[in-house]
Parts: sequence; structure tokens; C-alpha cells
Amino acid sequence: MRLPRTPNDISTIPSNGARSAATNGSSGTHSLPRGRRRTPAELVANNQRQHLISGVGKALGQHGYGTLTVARVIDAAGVSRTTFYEHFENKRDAVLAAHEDAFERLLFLVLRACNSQHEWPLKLKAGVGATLRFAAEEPDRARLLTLGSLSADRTIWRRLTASRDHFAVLLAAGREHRQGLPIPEVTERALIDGIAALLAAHLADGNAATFSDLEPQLVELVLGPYLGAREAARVARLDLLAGGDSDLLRQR
Amino acid sequence: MSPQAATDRVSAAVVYERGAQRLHDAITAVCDPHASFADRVQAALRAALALLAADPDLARLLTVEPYLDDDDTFLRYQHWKKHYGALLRRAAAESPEASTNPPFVEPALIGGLRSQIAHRVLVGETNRLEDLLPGFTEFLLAYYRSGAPSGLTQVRNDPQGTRQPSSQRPGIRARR
Repeated sequence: MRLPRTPNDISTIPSNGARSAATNGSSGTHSLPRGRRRTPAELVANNQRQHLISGVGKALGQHGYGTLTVARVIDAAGVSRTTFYEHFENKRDAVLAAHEDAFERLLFLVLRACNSQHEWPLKLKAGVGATLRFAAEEPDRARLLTLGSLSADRTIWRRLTASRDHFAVLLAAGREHRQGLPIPEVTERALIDGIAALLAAHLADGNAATFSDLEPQLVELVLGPYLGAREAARVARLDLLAGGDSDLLRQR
Repeated sequence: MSPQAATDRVSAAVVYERGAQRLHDAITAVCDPHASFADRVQAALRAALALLAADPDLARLLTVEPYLDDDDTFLRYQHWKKHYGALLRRAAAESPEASTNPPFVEPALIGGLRSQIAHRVLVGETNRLEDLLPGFTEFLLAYYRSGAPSGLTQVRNDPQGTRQPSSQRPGIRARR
């Protein structure tokens, strides 16, 4: 199985209208202005959609996918059943939209973090850090990218796999740093899935405070096949400076 | 939870446990403690993939079902994942040619491999699981080769001849 082409920036990621999630800050939902001034219908609709998307993540965290129902989504979102069906056909449709929203948000954060550094190992370290902050600050969205029970639905599972492949492609850029041993094809997908499983376990524990502790471990894990354990451990311990100071890499 | 649902969950967990024990027996049966670490890893993976490829229901039970909302089965999967991680660590510790890793590494590696097997199962390619052997072997060994000066370059039955001395590993390239 070959990985897809590399997404160089978020403009290459398909969108179904949830683009705002990547750029509108962390919560993705807003309180509408009060008062006489009428709110444009489109703004109301977008707001409702964001509440529903957020509700999907919350309900998934409480019930998993198998026992997720439209009733549980609208309960978590605080909207009516009519509103739900104005936006989505069914539970799967809502989960797919929520998944895409979460994926775009994380991809935006990861690419922004990566672009703050110059060297690939530090880009990766920054990307891992961004991923962990995302999981800690937006656990409902993070669940949509890591929850194993989503594989119960073939359509959702395919989408989940495709989104993870995007991150696998970003990781595969490290292959050029490996000049000796060939790296098996399975490496990137196995690493991304391993990380997803690890994050899912931490999300299930509900202890967001521990996410930042994982950063050096994950960086070491992910860099290992490309740089070797010793160098991976060294990079994992480095402190990143804003703007990417590659001189750090010369400190042997 | 209704009594019937509770019974079903217990039954599912028992079925999972039996399947997990079958896999464990298949793996431990082929692990020669006197063989090199690389050969032990390869033999264990070959036995696991062969068993799962021959029994699609077992493959699904052990790699897909733990994630389908049954807490008991998931906890049992986590237990077995830790167990295999411990076996891997112990085998590495017993082998002078293998380096050791921080304790978080093995569960993550095993979780990643499980996911790749589950992927094949879900797309209906369980009968092709054994194709994963070379990649899985290389993927795992990379983590035990890295800290060692030589060692894990000698894997028997390495038809692709993909191994090279660890001394050829590059460091991070300085920015030009």
C-alpha cells in the first residue's frame, strides 16, 4: 500500500464547509450576539452546525460509536432534533462531518507548528507537541481522530484511515534522513496508529494534564527508525525555540 | 445493563481470552531462547501472522473486536499488549546484540502492528497477512538495532538482504 501524495499545506485538504474549524480558534463554537439586530441565517446555521459537531465529539466520548444515537448527539449539542436533520442525514453523516472538522483543525495546527522549524526532526518534534496540545485542549475533537470504535462503520473507518495517511505522509519526509538501512513501508502507518492508540487510551483516562508529559516519549518513538535511538532521544530532550533554531541540532 | 447483556459481555471476554491464549501459545512455541534476538522476533511474528491468516475469525476477534465498544474485551486486549511488550523487552534484555528501549516503546509498537493487521482484516485481505512479515520484522528490529554498534545485522532467512551495519546510520544533517 502506497501512501498518498504529501499535503504541503491545508489548502490541499478537501473540505465540506468545515474549514472554519481550522482557523476560528480552538472551540469551534460561538455565542451569537444578543439584541434586536437580526443574525444572518447563514451565521445561525453555521453556529448550529458547529454545536452539533461539538456534540458528536462529546457524545462519542461518553458512549462510544456503537451506542451513539442522534438523541445523544442533540442532547450533547443542545439543539433540537429538527435542527440535527437540517444539517445531517443521520448519525454517520454527523460523525463524518465532525471527523473532518477535527482532522482539518489538527492538520492546521500541526502544519503551523512544523513550519515554525527549519530541520525535519524539529519540525516533527513541533508537530508532536502541537498534536498533544490539541488532544489536551480539544479532547472531544481528538477522540474523533483516535477512537477505535469508529472502525465499526466501514465508511467512517475508511475516512479515518485516509486522514491518518495524511499524517503518515508528513512523517515519511524523514526517510531522506535515513541514508543506510531501508525503512519498511509499514513504518509510518504503524507509528501513526500506535500514537493514535496511545492518545485514545489517555483520552479514555480523562487526564489531559498528562499529555504534555508524553511529548519526549513520542518524539523519541517516532524519530527512532529514521535517526536511530540515540539521536532520537537527544532530539526529544531539546527545547524548541520559536522560529526554529537549527543550531540546537549541532550540539552533539 | 440487562442480565442478558452482562452475560453476553462476559461471554465475549471469555471468547477473546481463549483466542488470545491460542495466539500466545503459537508464538511462545516457536521462540527458541538460544536463538538471536532478530531470529526470535522474526519467528514470533511469522507464527502470529500464519495463525491469524489461517483463521480470519480469530484475526478479527483479536485485532478488530477489542475496539468495538466492549470494555471488558478492550481491557483484556490492553493486558495482552502489555504482556507481549514485556516478552519483547525480556528477549531484548537477554540478547547482547539488542539495545533496550524506554518502557513506553513496546506497547506503542505492538499497538501499531495490531492496527496494520486490523486494516488487512477489515479490507478482506486476511489471507495476505503473511506478506507483512518482512516489514513487521524490520520495523520492530529497528528499535533494538539503533543503540547497538553492530549486532542485529544478522538475521537468517533475510531474502531481501535489507540489513546493513548500524554504523551506516546517519545523524541529523546540519542545515546548509
